[in-house]
Amino acid sequence: MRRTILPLLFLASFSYSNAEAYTYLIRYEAEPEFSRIVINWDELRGALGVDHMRDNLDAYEAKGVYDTHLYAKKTKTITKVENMDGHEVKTVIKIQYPQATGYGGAGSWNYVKVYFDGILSVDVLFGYNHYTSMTVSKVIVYVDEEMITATWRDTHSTQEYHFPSSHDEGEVFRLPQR
Amino acid sequence: MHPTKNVILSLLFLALCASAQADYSTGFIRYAAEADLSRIVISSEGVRGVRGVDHMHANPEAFAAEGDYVTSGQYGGSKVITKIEEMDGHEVKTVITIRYPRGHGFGGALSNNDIKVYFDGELQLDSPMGYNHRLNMTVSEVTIHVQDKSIIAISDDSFTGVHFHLIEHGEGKVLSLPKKKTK
Repeated sequence: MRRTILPLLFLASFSYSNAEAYTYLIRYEAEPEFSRIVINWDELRGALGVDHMRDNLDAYEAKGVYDTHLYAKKTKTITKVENMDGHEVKTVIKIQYPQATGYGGAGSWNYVKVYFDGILSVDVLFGYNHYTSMTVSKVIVYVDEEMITATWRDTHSTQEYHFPSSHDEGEVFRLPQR
Repeated sequence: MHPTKNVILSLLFLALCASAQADYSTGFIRYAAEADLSRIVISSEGVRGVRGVDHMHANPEAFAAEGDYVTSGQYGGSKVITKIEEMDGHEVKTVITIRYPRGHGFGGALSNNDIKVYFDGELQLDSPMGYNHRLNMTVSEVTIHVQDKSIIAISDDSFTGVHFHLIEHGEGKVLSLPKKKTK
């Protein structure tokens, strides 16, 4: 009896350790040929990708990709300055890493400020923010056009998840949903 | 010529020039396979401003080779892009259809785009891509997390969506989110 129970407990502990691995990234990309700067927040899912990211944090940061889910690390401030089409665009990204002290402490708090020719033009929370229950997912600075767009969504209505093999059993993910 | 006529003609000329400086924009769909991160990201993007738009419209094939597919700048016709990736033991086939603007009204000034994703041969996602006039919605990003076997699609309705901030017209105003409610 004990011989049966112990292997079962052993296997059960492994099934629980196969947790969902995910993180959130902020990507800063200057595209001078399109005269734009894109700051993007998105999700990375799966142990393989997340582990690869964590093993190469410095290399990704050099490319402008920042992992926001590094627990209990000190706040990081990234300042980028671009001179494009006769304008100076300074972007300040602040990442307050998760502190796990409750009230949304499992998520990071991020901020983006954009100074266009030295004048503060954008001051937004960035990524998912627990306090406001909203997600600002993208800020684009169209430099030549002297225009900035910010995209946001609320938490429930506009982001849909689909798991082809594990949960959704052959259902096709269709938008708009019925 | 009568001086009044001179003034009127000059004013008309200036007014014409002001109108000619219209909003200048284009759209494109970006396909990026990130094998290192085990994911494929398809996003609907925009370019604004004369220099960037003209550069994109002058080199559509070069940008298509990099995975950026222009969705406007030409009228009529359509383009089907099929991409197949082998990643972490799975095959992901993505079919993007771009129907270029036709200009027949009812959203005809815009392209009408669709995306289909087949995961290991089975259709898993069937969705419009970018702004769809008929549905009044914008699917701005689709991410396929291959190893995680999950797909995320982000859609914005016309209310939440994108906030435009014109620096020249904003007169020092800061784009702050969330926006304060007005009475």
